Amino acid sequence: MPAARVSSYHGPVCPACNAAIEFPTMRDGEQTCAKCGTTFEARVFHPPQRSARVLQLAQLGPDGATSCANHARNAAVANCERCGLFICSLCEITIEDGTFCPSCFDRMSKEGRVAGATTRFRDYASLAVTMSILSLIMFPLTGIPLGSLSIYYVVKGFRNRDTATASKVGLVLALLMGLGGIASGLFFLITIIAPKLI
Amino acid sequence: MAKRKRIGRWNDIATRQAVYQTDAGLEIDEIDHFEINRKRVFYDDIQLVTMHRYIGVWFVVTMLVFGIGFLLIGALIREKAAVITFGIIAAPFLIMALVRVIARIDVITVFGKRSRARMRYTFRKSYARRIYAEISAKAREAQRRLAAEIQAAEPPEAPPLTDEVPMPPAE
Repeated sequence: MPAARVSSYHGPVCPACNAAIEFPTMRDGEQTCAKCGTTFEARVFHPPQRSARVLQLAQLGPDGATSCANHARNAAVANCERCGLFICSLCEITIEDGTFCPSCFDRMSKEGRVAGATTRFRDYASLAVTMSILSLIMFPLTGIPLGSLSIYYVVKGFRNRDTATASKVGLVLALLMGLGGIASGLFFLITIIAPKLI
Repeated sequence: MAKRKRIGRWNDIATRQAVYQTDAGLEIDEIDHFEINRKRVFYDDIQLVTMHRYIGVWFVVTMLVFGIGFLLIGALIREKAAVITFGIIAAPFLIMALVRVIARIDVITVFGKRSRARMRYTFRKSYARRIYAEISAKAREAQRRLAAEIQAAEPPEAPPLTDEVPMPPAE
């Protein structure tokens, strides 16, 4: 799996020149960047902070709760649905499929089993388009293999429509070009190569 | 996976990005050869939404250099056919520069806590304004809902302590 990119994002800046802005004191309406002088319209938000309430074992007493496997002082509030570990509200990760501990969530997202946590995808649509173009351009040599490959990528592109960058039209176009590449390759093989061999 | 709608793009020399809208926020697909890197800006994480217009001086200068360059080549050859041919070649560059100066580009930038989304629109001005208003409204609504959820989850305040401590009944 390729390493994740390191982001250099540091929060709101001037949208035109990326210079620092006085965000904490900013209000809705027209703003002017002090550095580049660009005037921009702004809508400011103050997103509420989520905070996890952690139950301490001491609050509940030794008979009242079980301790978290990762934090001995915290009371467990759930079990990981994958490994059964007792977890506190700090460790608890709730997704569509259930509640998991951090290590199980990490493993599952690395395996690509958590749809919402996947951030890298293969772009089958671009692959299909590239292969089909190459199959047409170099049809005497690669028309049949690359044309077949482009059809394979078109099928994969249609199956993974939610991650595809090309539209349906693009995929259909790639399919037609791939078929064209195969046809050209076959035509070249039958009309030019085969008579010489026979 | 939630259904999503493409609402904008951001392409330059180094970057190719497509921005999609989902129920929970915006998804930014950065195309890196044959890989897609996806980032998300959730509505309840949005800190700032901006909209501004720009011309892009470098684009205009490049187009003018090419356009005027081709016109000069045609003029230097001093043949009618060459002037017409190079004039036709130069025309798209000059038109693109003119269109950019007149229309300018509308840019919407959405700053989240961890990432940002940028979209630019050259011709669809009213669509850009609608998207700007829609993102702002959805962010406002999501954050209002989250604040209400957080407030609802707060434990009720403990009753104030009184000086009078109830004593067990006297025997």
